[in-house]
Amino acid sequence: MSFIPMFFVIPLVSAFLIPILGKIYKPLVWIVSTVASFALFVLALYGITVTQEIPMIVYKMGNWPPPLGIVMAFDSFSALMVLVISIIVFTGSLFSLRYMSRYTGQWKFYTLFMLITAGMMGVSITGDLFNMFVFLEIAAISSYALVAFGVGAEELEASFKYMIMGEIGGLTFLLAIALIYAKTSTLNLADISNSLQVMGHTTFFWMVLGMMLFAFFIKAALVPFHSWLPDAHPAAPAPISSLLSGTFIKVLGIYTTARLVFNIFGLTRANDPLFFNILIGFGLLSISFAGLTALSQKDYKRLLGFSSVSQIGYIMLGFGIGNYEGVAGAIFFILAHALAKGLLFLTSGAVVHAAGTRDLDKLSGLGERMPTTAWSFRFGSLSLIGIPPLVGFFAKFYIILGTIKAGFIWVALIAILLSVLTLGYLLKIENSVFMKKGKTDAKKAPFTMRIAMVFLVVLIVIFGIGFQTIINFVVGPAAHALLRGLEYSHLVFGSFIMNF
Amino acid sequence: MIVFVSCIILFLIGLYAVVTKRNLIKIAIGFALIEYAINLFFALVGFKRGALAPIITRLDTPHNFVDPIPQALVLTAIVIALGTTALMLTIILRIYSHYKTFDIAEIKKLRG
Amino acid sequence: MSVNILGFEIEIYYLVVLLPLIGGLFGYLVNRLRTEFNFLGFVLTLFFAIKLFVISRGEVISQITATIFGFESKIYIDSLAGFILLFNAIFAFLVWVYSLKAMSKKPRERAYYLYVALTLAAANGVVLSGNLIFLLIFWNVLVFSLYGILLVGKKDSSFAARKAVTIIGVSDFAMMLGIVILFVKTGTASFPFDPKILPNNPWLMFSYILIFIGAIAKAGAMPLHTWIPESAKVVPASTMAFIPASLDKLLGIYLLVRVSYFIFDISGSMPLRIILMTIGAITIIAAVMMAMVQKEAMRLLSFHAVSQVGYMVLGIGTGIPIAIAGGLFHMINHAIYKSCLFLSAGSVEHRTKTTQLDNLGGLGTKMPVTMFTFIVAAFAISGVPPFNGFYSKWMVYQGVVELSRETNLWPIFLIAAMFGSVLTLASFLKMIHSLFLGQRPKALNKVGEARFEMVVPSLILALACIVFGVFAKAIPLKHFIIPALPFKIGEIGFWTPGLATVLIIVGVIIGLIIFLLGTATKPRRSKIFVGGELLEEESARMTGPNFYSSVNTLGMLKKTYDFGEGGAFDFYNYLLGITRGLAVLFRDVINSLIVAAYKYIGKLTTGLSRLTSALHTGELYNYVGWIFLGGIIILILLVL
Repeated sequence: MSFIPMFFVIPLVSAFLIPILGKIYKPLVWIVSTVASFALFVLALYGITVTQEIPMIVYKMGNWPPPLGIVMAFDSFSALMVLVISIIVFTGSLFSLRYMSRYTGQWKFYTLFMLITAGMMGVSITGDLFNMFVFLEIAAISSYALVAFGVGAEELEASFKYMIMGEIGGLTFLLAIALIYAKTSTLNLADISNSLQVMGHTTFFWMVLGMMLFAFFIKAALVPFHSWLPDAHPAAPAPISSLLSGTFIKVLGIYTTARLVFNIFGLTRANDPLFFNILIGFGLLSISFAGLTALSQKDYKRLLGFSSVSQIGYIMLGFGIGNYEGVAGAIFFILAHALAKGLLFLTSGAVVHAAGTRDLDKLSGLGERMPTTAWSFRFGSLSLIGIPPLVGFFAKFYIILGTIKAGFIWVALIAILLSVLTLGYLLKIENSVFMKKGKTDAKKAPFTMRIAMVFLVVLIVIFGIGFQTIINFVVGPAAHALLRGLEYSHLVFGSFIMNF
Repeated sequence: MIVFVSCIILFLIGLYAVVTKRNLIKIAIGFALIEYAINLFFALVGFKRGALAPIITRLDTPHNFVDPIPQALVLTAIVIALGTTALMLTIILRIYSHYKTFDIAEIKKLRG
Repeated sequence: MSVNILGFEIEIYYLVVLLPLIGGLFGYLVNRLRTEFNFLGFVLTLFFAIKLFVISRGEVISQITATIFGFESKIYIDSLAGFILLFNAIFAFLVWVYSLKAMSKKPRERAYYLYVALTLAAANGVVLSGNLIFLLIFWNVLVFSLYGILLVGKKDSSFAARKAVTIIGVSDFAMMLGIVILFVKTGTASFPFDPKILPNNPWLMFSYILIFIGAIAKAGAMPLHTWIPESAKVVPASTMAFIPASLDKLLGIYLLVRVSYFIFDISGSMPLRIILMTIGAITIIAAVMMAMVQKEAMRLLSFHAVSQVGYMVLGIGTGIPIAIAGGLFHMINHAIYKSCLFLSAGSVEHRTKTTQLDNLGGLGTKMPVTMFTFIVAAFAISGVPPFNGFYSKWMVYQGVVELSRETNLWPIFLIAAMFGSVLTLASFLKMIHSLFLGQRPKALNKVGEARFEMVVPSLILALACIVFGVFAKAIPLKHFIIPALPFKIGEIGFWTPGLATVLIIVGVIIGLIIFLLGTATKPRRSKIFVGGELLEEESARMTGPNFYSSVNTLGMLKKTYDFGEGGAFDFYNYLLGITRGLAVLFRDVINSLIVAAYKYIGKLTTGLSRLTSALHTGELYNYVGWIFLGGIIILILLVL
């Protein structure tokens, strides 16, 4: 039995176990979800080690050979995404124990939590286009439900808008799949890649690519496709916000874009400069527009939501640069941003848990009352702003380095200048919530919440100090996996069955 | 050819409903239309004039089947669409209980 | 060469940086176990430094450990680095032992130890680096730790600390620029260069001079010395002994030698050598002249710490192998006797609570061991045979004389060096008199010998002065100096220490005899009368500080001294002046522009932010409209 399908089998099985076990003994639901997510974390680490030696592990569902059956293609980039997901899922699950205690129907929450995990894991490892759509929808539908989990007016409104826009994206993706199938008669990514190469860069090629970009940009929430995110992410419970901002938009939007653009459509900066310039343009637009908007937000989580849109811009910018440094930086920033933004949303959860509000004007004086939360927030924001030696710095540094190496000095300058915005809006939270003196009866966060936050802080610091190791063993191989371009299909067809 | 065009027209009608209609239920219906259009498109992709349903009864008959894969895909897509639509309608009902309206233009608490 | 610690293979050279850091940090965090942690840190560092030194005698450790952003981080330990590492560790350990009593219960004691450890770690890091860019990183850590340690003062030392950091910081910046130029022009910053660079190209010459500025600012040569006397007044003696007296000399001269003979080869460039030698000669004379008229012990010593750098720079600047060896040897000797002097003077201060020479005197009988160490070190610094200072100065002289083949200027340097030596002796006679001889003020009658922990380091250093002098050829030169340099050293001098020692002993015996004869005829003691009034014995006490007061009243010199005391030679003042000028410029012209720009950018940002925020109206069809707008843009761009 290969370990590859385990990535979505474990959360799927737990998702179905949770309602049953929840009937027997309520606390079991949390235990199952936490154990499952920890197992995923361990499995993800194992995946990283395995991909050090084998560039591509192919798992054939039902043992059908690649073009016929559905395959799972697990390479270094998938390994990195799986690691990121499992870290955030694990901390989110830890955090949920006390945070979710005020909600009813917890088993529903954990079921959906595991389903969304299964969906994201599936998207990251699948080698089949329609399979990707299915997993994407599993994750998306679970996320609609999770956003509405509080069933208040705002949650429902956010969820509805999110659903409308998300489904427009999802259905466009489906239409694009239909078109591709009509043209190539295959759904296997590697096979599609071969057929598209034979076909050449026709209008059809660009149109399908455009439709997919449209779909994925909605999922990734780049400006101007972002408007659902600042509504939806704050509305969800904090661990889900953390998961959505930390990994969801990256898996469904960024991973899919990068995978298709580099490996399936086989575009390279050298051959298609216009396309990559479009990515850069959307990246810069997101950074500036959302960064500016975040400055005037008055809601803790909504501000963070806009910040996510802005930071996604950096990732897109890195991919748009298209050279090794840029792509590696973007991938590194996926990791860095997941850790930082996941952490920041967890702190927002802790603050809401303690103070009962997210309004920045009403919050004050929590720095002394909640030292762990305050310091976690500081570490997260410093990493996001890009202060060495935290992980965010090195990721942004690589993106900027790539930009300069590619000759886009102006883009680099603008990107550096715009990171002042990051500083600006995060300082706003710091000033009003943690620094400002004020009377509050908040208590410090419960133990499991603090553990979850400290875990992420530790990772931020360790990954920052050991950035060279991360680059060498995790980010670098992932960037190479993308920049291998069309060799992807050779690897999928060429690799023999690995029985792990 | 005409079927493809009508399929696209169906798609556009659905899109029109989603974009311009203010009633939540109509938006949901718009989505349903889009889904039908895409499913229809899938089915048409695999269609061959005069071919049989892809059920192999005897191995010696000439193989002139329609493509079975789109049909499988359509089944999956229908299931997903069912889930989405059900969730959407549920949320619409809950929204109605909060806002006392189906008008999307009045549901704008989240802004700024 | 690596050791196994808890299952991790760690190269020794990492340990000499990590161990003091770990020891210091844990000591800082766990205050109760500070001494234990620090002890472990320093002793283990010393142990590994010795090990590295022994290895470096046999082979050169040269390893590229990592390549970060295209810069290779290289470890390079040859015998020069090995011997500097060794002495770094030795001095740090001795100063630490001394501090145990001297610093106990002093304010900010905890921070002091942390900074000592940090300084040692960074200093070791400097010496290990085989790449100037990485060397620079550690060099900058030293600036930070210097600032921190200077802030731990006897009184308010923030001014001195600020001054030190300004001067060192500016010269570091010069050095950084120099390294960058070197890197750009040659494409590498990893030494040793092969072949070495002849600084004949103006850019390279400029780069050398910039790095040279960094090196001598650290070593404390004129005109970048002024922070040393400034801090001497306000920081504890142990700090002075540790940083300006020993570690900064080691590092500054180390860098100077590295740059001058391992990266560049300045022996081929006469103008550069003349510049170096001139700076050396001026430093010797000017600083020692300032030292002579000082009335405060620490300040006096600190001017000598500057003056002696002159010999090292002079020796290294000659380009003659023997003088270079002499300069290097003088560096190590200076570190030994000057820290000994600071520590001994510190012991006196610890007991008497004063460093004003006017208030001291006659402590010889009360603090005999301290007197012994002080006198030995004083003779060593004055170049009295057979102590170590004599030997190294001798080598420098010999080099300068050999220079006669190349330039006619050599007599000037020779005279400056010798004259400086004489003046040093003169000023130390004054100091010895003021501290240990002469009449003892009544207030000091109860003073006793310094504590054991404070005496031992001074004593060790004093003994080292003697050993390094008497067995100069057999021990320090043979093991430390000669192997460290990349050229052959010719026969050294015609002086045999054995003969000299005999002569000195004879001299001492004659002196003793004269002394005994003197005491044999007891002088008459009687009360003092002035105008019929009986004077207190105390008020007629003969103190030392005014021995040479007449020098600063000598016509021309008087002006110079006034300038000197007024700060005219203080690089810091000029720097401050320029900065002030710029500041005025900024305040009046540029600042108003910036304020305006800031205001308008702020307004613009807020305005834009409000605008973009207002765009999010919460109406779904707006949002859907944006989405389709974006989609259409993508399709148009891609398909057309």
